[in-house]
Amino acid sequence: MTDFVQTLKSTGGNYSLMSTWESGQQCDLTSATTKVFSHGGITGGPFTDGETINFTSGGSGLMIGVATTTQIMLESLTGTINSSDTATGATSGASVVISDAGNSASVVLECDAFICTDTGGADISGWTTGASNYITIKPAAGAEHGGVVGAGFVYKSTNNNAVTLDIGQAYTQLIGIEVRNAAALGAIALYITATTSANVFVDKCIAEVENPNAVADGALRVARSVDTVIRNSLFINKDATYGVAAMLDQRSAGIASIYNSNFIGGVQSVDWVSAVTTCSYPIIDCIFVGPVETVVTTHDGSTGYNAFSSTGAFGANQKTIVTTFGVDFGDYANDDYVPVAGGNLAGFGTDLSATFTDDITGATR
Amino acid sequence: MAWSTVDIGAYKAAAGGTDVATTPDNLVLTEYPASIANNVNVATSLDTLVLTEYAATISVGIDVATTPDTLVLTEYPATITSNVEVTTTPDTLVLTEYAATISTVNNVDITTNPDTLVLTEYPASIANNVNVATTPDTLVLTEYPATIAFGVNVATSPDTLVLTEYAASIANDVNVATALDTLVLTEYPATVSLANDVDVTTSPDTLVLTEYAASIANNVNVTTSPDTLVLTEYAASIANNVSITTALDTLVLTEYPATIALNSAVDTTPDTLLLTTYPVTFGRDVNVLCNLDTLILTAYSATVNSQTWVPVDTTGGNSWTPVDTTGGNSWTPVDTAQAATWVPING
Repeated sequence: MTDFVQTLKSTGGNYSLMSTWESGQQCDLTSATTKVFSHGGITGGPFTDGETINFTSGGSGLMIGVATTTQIMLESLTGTINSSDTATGATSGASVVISDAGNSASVVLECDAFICTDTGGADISGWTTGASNYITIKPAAGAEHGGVVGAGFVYKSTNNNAVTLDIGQAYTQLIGIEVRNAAALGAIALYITATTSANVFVDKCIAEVENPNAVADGALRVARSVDTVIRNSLFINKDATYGVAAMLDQRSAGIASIYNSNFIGGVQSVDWVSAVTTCSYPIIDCIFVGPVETVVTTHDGSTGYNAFSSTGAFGANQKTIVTTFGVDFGDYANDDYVPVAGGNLAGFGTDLSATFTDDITGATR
Repeated sequence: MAWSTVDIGAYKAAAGGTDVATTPDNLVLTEYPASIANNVNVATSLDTLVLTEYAATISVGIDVATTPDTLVLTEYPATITSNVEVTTTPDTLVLTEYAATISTVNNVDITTNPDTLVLTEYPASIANNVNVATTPDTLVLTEYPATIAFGVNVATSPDTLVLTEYAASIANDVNVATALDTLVLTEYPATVSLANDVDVTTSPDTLVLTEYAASIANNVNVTTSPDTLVLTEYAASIANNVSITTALDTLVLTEYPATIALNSAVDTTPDTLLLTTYPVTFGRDVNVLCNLDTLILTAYSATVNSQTWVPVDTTGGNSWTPVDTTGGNSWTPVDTAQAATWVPING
């Protein structure tokens, strides 16, 4: 499997909007006739999305999305293709000399450090993905947020009552990006709607809603997304009326695990999605600011080492935290959630190094 | 490899055990129970120590002692314990909450130049035998019942004493007595007591009474040059036998029923008497006597008693100028077209 890497930048990238990338790149990644090819540079062009590409050995395929300076990705491949063929666009006349015979692909969107205002947000769905052919959205090297809100790539939507980033596609990884719903009538920032065999992975991400319009508009909402893993992430909704950090589906066959994440709610940290009273997945080393809805009475046996600022605490080895300046967080009011030395959060979790070894900043724990 | 620290949440915890001990030091403790334990020193040039929450304490044996020192205690019960000294130039000690005290028994001194002592909450007090005694001193008491206890001296030049709340008082035998004294009483019933032999007696004196029931009691003198006496609220009055007697006196009465009582004299050169609201009255035997006097009555029904002229027809203007300062019939109406409507009461 080879990564097909495209860039998202305010200017000069392969794309400037995530929604455009998603619609342009959407394909069946698992198909044997979808492949990524390396090349030494484009002559003429640019290629046209969807145009027929003819190879000198007789094979052909259809262009997917935007070609990069080193790669092209094609679908519906047929015929003979040799590793030194010239691939020419039937419509654009653009051509490249490929240096391999094509490989099964995963797609990677590398995001620059800028605020990407995509008014209606993006919906990652309609692809065909798998355990070896997946989607990754992450910052480019050097564009990481470092755990600081607003410091890296910020994916922002402004349309009223619209989800900012809807992950309806299984096998999607979000690593180190910030998702912000900034609409006047805000909605969910990060909504994981993939269900069957979802395998969505959220690591080192920040999601926030500036102006939620309803209790259901959490910074994060997760459906029964099977085998979804959330860790090292920050979910912020400090609104005084609709401030729910996350709405989590607690039912069986849902989320795989939630580790070392902060749920910062102005009204409520977690609102359980269903009236089912059992939460079947482990929640460990997490921070909940604001009450947790008390629907769930039975948690997974390994759930514990979580800290709570208010009612609804659950699991073993609970901690009570104080959000006043400098007591447990560096500066809660200004989104500095670094545990202070000697506070309730420092050193009181449990070691999950068998699963991961870093924190939201990328530092080794 | 296992985590070096098992911290809860998305972030690895900050490292601990940091010392703050360089120049310039800036140590700010903003939460309770913030404390500086024994034998912890914050002791370099440009030290700043700020304690903003209650139960903040400076323990015994801790010195905050460089130049310039700033010590701010903003919550109760903030205390400076025994033998803690704040002793450099310039010292600034600010106590902003009640029960803030400078203890008498602890021998706390604030003794440099210039000293600034500000007490902003009740019952703020300066206990007996605490001295605020350098040049220039500034003592500000902003809450009731702010008091200056017996035996406390504010006695240098120039002194500034400001009492801003009611029940503010100057107790017996307290002297405010140097050149450039400024005494301001802004709330009722602010009084300069008669019985206490309180003198405001230097040059130039400024006495300002800004609330009603403000009064200058009998036998209290405001007697230097140039004097400025301003009474800004109604029921302002100058009692009998009160003298304002120097050159360039200015007496301004801005609210009704402003009165100049019997036997009150306003008599120097040039005098300016401004009466701005009706019904302004002069009692009998009130003198406004000198060259270039200007008497302005700005409201209807203003009257001048014996030996003066009054307007009969108030539509014709109400100003006039003196031709002969001896009074009598030497007054001339300003609006000559209406001359017939002016008559002397006692020509």
